[in-house]
Amino acid sequence: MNDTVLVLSIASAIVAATPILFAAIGEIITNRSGVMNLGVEGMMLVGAVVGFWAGNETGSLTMALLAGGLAGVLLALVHAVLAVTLRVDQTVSGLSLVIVGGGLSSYIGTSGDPGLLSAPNGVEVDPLLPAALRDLPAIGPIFFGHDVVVYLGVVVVIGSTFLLQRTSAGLSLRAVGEDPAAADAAGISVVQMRYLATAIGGLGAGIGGAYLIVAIVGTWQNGLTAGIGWIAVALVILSGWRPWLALVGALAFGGLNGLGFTLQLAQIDVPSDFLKMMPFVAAYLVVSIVSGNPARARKLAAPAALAQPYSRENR
Amino acid sequence: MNRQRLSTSRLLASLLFVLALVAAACGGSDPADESAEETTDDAATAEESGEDFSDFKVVMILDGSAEDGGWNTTHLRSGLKMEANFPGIDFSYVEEIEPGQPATNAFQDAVDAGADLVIGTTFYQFDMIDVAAENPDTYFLTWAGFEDQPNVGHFTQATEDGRYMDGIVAGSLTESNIIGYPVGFPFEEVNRALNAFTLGAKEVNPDVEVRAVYLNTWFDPAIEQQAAEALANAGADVIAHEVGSQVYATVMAERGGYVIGYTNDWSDFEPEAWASSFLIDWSTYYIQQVEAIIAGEFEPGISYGGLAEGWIEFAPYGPAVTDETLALIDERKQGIIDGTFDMFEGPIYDNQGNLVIAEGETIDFADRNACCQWLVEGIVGEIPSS
Repeated sequence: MNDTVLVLSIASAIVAATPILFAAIGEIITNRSGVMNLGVEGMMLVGAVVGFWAGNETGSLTMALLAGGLAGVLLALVHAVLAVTLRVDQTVSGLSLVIVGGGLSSYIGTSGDPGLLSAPNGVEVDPLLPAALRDLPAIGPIFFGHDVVVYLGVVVVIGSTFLLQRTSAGLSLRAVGEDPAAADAAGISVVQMRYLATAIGGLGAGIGGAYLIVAIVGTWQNGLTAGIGWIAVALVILSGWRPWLALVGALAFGGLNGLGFTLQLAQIDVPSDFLKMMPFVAAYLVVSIVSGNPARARKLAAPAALAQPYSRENR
Repeated sequence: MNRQRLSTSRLLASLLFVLALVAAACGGSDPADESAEETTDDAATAEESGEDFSDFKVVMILDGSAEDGGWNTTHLRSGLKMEANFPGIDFSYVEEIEPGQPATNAFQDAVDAGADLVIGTTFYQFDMIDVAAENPDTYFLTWAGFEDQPNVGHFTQATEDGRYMDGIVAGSLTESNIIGYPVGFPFEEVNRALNAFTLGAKEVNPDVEVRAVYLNTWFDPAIEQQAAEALANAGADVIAHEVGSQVYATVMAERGGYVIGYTNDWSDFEPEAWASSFLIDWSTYYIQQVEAIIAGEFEPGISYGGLAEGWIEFAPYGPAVTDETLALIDERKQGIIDGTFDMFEGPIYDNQGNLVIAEGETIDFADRNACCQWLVEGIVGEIPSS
């Protein structure tokens, strides 16, 4: 493998990491409020198909991302109604969302004449920075060659870390996820906070799906996300619910993305199915290591009230 | 008071959820119904010859979406051509039927619906074997396969006739001398096409390297995108794909390279990146079979057809393909039809250095279906063992 292949592969990995990152940051915020939403894959699919449609109608990347994000929010609110208001089992509701999202996205993709299947991509996604910077050897393609959304991903990581750790809204959000009864007693509306956090999760997944389709794949097909939503869920666990670690993990998983083929081309035979398994193996390992060590467990553990419905009457 | 409000909001929420579910459920079934209806209208156009085939029912079983723009679109297009040929014939199709139990059920449903002929577009032979045995009065055609049953016909296209020409295009367009070739699954038909493609590319460009990567899927845009990126990163400036999506065109357009399609005319999609694609027209075969069944002369077994049989055609070539290349392609096509050109004429070596076809020998057309378990010299890549 020469330098160019390595440099180009790293650049591809960074782009591939971006949809995973958006979905994972959204899910971290949802989880931090105590809501487990396993429906990331479904929300990404609906975000992708709606974003693709909006991109084709308007030719605008911003509109594609907004429409995709909004579609993700709407689907997330279905989960919020079930999980927060009706207090159904969050695992069941989240899994249902995957199925509903998958079916809904296929339906949207095939309805209309002509359908979105085999429709061309209406959005031009251009690099943000001038060619002088992009053409620098090695660091050019890796750091300066990307579109605006990739850099926005980094901003979102910084912003969400700041929100969670340094603002009173973030403190309230975490309080709701750790001890909703105490938060309730302190005058924080648990229901409101959880709805908001779940919606933000939908926004992240929807934007991730929309970016995946308009900037990376460029064509709609049923089941387009092919498990990226699940990788995002694994990544949330892996990162110990911390945006910075999610960024590192997303880059690693983005690198795994095309690695199977790069290795095949370098005549190194590693089955691509083995590589596809790695995010989940990594999640298992981290969960096992963390739960085996009380000190680490406290630092990187899940929000205490994660996936537990809160009912004021049952307190 | 508080309790009252809570239960109202709960009721509303449940209603919303039920509505959402109903909407999703309705959505799932709609397109299939619509498309089944649509097809019957088209038949009216061919009502001139006076003959009426309205008591003959054909059901086509597609393994993917009819709008996949690839394999299944090709089959449906050929089916519609067949429908137009027989005024009044009852032609319908079902989509997204995976091999296995769903396929068995779909074949049985088609028989129960009164089909005289059921056409399966992928490797369904093991799913329909029992259905065919239990329903001797219904005829079945299925892509590929080999099981001998009196009411079953198998059909496979001589992809190599088309792929050799695509290879000539790719070999003449590449500047890096690296051509990417993502492969779905490794088996004879696919290896044969890859070999033919490479032989064609090497005829015009002996230095060319064809880099094969194995995807382990027929159709998965996300995986295809990764493969396309990896190939482009490794220097490929032409990608020839198999059944699959338009992702390859997207990636090649971005990098200023060229794409060679598979069985579909996508020349409008990324026009600058478009190079060529062979097409398959199954309608000749479908029409022959319907005629044979109606005449009571159906012959079971394997049918194999290429350029000479009218099964293989070509999409419009892209703007970058030169007249010189086109002239050579015409010459080779005529040579195949006349029998004066044989791409598999020895000596041919595989990419391990073994002589696989000796000087003066070849693989007879009738035996090509069983080829190849080797990859020709010039292909970088190995057939995976599993």
